Amino acid sequence: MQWHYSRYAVPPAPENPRNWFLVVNLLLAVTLGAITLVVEWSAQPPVAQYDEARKAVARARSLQANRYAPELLLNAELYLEQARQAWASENKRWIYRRDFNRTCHYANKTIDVAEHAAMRATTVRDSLHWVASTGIALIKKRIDEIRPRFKDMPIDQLVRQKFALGEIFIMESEEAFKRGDYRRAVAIYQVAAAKIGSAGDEVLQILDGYFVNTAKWRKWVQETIQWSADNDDYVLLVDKLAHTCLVYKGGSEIARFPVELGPNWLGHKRQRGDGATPEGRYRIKKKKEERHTVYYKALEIDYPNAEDVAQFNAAKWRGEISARAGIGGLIEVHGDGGKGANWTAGCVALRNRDMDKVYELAQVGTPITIVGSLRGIATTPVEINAVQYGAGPKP
Amino acid sequence: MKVKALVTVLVVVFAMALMLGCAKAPQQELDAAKAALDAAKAAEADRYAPEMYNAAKDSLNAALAEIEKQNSKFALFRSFKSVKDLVAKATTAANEATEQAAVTKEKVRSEAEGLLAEVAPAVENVKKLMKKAPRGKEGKAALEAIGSELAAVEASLAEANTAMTNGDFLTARDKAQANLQKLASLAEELQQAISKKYGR
Repeated sequence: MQWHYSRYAVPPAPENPRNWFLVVNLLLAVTLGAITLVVEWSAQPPVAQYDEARKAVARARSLQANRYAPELLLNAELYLEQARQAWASENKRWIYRRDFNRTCHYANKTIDVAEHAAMRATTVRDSLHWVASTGIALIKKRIDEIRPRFKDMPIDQLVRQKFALGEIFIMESEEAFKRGDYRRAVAIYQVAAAKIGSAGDEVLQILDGYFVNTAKWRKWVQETIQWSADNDDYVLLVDKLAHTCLVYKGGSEIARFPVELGPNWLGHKRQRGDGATPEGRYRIKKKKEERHTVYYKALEIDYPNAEDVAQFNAAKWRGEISARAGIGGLIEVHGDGGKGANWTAGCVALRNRDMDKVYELAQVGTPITIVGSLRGIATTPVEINAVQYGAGPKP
Repeated sequence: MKVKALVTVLVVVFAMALMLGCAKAPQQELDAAKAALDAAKAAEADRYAPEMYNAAKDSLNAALAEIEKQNSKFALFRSFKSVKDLVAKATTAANEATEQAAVTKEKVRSEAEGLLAEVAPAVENVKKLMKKAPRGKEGKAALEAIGSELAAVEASLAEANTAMTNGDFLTARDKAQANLQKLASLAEELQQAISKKYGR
């Protein structure tokens, strides 16, 4: 047999083809065996860990971690990508040299952070749900409490606008809450709370200033009721804050009526045309009816008294009011009330049917004491320190 | 001759096995799936169709994991058929998320637009009622108060319009809804005052 090196790269085949077949099969079997051994002995890819990590991220995402724990979810996703890259980089090495520890490390990190994100998302969502629902309810309650009083109080228009914006924001917060966006609902609720709170605080500040004279009012009320008891006669008490006129006889309350005042009723009258109702101890100066008054019936009081004049002059001297300002006058308790607004120029308006009763009881010289508020002020001579407000007979 | 033929067959079989074993990941499909997911994100599918978007994202992650799983195998034993399935699933989900987001967004946009369109007539109605409301001494303060509240509504309406222009339709819808509620309460208050005055 002759060798032809130029034509064949393999050694000459044995004579018997069966032998060839055997040799090739043996070689294939050995190769496959070797491959199987290498695959078995080399590091196994972290399929289970990686899958677990991927599912943990998917779970966190389904629990809205992208909205309620976005940073943690982002971290989990970054770790998952690092795990994948580490796996890909190991795949480029020879099979027997692969080491998936780094991949496993990042996969475990992913699981930890994703589970944390899922937990955080659930907690944050639940707490935001609670904060939003409770907060909205509280603010709405506050609005309901403030609004009726707010409506009647002479408050700066900007404060009123702030309050109205707060109301609109709370409605917007409710809309966000309804569609399940609790984060936005809380954010908007906080803006609403700030606006309502701030408007409320400004009102409280006004009221704080208003109640500075409480001690003086208390003394006036006690003396007036005492006078009624001593003389067994009628006296009138006007509570500006409560918009109520109380009638006493012999030291006991016998009737009370709702009243309307001037638009700037909150605070003492300082000058003519300020729309404020004066506070002080007065007496009925004149009774008017028919053509003598345009307001059904009227009881004119002796405003300004000596104290009013002294206060007015002092304020003028301090430059708080114009040098040309007048002190005003013609303050009355009159009819034509029941309009549902503070509309007088500083007078006290009653409904005509109530005015009839008051007009009948009051005489020229009957004491009338007008105070900012009876709240916290005793209204019987016996229980000087007891708060009787709201306990009297209803009109 | 028989020997030669046998060797040739073996070489061909081995070469084919190698070729099959060297199968590559479906890169083109993978890129298309990533592009579809990016498009879904750009269409705000994560906000308007979150479930579908999350499903697409998870399918893509599963496909990437499957690629590495196959790459870990000996070249002869790799198969990217399941990868192709997962990538196709991710692409379909991403496209559906984009479509669903567009539909939902359009629905919200049209709702917001409709509500905003209702606000202007409601403002006009309140202004008309303000003209009819008692204007004397008793009405002046109340009208001033309502005027302030109307100014608050107009400020909020401006914010709603800005949100609409910026494509934030959910916020625009919420604000429009709140403005309408407030305007309804103002109109009711004015109606009561008018009814009280004219006894109607």
